[in-house]
Amino acid sequence: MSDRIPDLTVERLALGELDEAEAKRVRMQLQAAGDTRLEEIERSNSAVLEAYPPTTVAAAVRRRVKPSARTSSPAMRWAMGIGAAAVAAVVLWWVARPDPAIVAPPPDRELVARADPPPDTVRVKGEARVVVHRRTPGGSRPLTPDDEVTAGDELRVAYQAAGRRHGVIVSIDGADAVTLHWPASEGADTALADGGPVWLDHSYALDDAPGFERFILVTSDGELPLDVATVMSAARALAARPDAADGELNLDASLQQHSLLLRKSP
Amino acid sequence: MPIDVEALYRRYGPMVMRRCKQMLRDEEQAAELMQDVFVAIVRRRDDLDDRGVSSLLYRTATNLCLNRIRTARRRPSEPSTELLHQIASATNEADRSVARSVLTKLLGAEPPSTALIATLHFHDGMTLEETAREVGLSVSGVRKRLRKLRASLRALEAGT
Repeated sequence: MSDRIPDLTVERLALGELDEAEAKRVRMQLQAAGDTRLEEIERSNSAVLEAYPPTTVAAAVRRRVKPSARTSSPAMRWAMGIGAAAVAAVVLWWVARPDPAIVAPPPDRELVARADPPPDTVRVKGEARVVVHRRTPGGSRPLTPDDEVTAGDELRVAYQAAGRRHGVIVSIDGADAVTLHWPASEGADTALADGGPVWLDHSYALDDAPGFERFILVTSDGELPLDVATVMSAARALAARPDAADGELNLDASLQQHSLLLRKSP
Repeated sequence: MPIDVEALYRRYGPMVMRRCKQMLRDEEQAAELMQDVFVAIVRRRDDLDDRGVSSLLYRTATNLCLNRIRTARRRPSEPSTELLHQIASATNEADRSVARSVLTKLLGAEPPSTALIATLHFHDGMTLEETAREVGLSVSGVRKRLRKLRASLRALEAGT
């Protein structure tokens, strides 16, 4: 390891959280090395707070922590100046043949604004659906549970929430790996958009894990967001079980689960 | 006593943003994750002890960024974050039994993830002692965790 002072230590110095002796030592070491991180932190502090104002960010955080009816997550993100909201995608169990009328996915990296419904919209309930497309030289092709996929295949997924309010999408594969697809991180909002199909904002390539790739959507009709960490934990447990390809996640019975299994070519 | 979110963000938000930008190399994603960090903190704790808040936020940001990097493993990645991708990939299986919310670790329920430990030591350059102090393990405990990644760690050490 180098003699470079870790960033967190410099951050703590800037925050005034080091005791007097350590602060003096760190300052001397930074000066001796001509290290300008402390000055850069002070400049950066102003820039970040200007670009992402505290009142705006705090309001967005408070709304997400205690969501009211149908508060728009993309609106929060726009308020932060990020731009168009990322498209949320939920993978659902496909029990019917693919609908040829389903619109093909947009190009990679094209961010599609998510159409959050107004607060009083009555959601039309029905059967939630997953659409998974595989990229082809000429465009893309919808996949069915009978289709085989291989390492390197590029997939795009979409969902139709059919009235479900919140969802989490994970995938598990034959190597017991678990991936979170929606939301993008464990602390993010799990609200689903109605209408559809709603596409994930970018594709991903399958790796060489054997056996299968299985997408699982957990949905809720409740007002509160799902606990993503709990779903991930259940997915890891399922991935390690012999029935990983067709078993259910061990979650509260009030949550619905839908899955799509894709077999991997040998 | 409820958290003053605005005051918390005003004091620590820039640090969290810098951490997320450093790991993700993308301003837009970093801003999203920054908000996620504060949501995660506020959602699970009604009261925050002033001591260790910076460390808590830093570790939460690190873990959420690692999750994002791990998810993006199957998508085109930035070359500059290759070390973090290696850590995220190498620890995905090893952490299956220990990867939990960093907040549950602080509540005394779960140990810190090997991915977090590897990031602090190999990516951030913390010594074993500093890493141990940061995650609340003994130095031998940190060494033991890192030893479990021996095959991948040799490649990581060769690059640092």
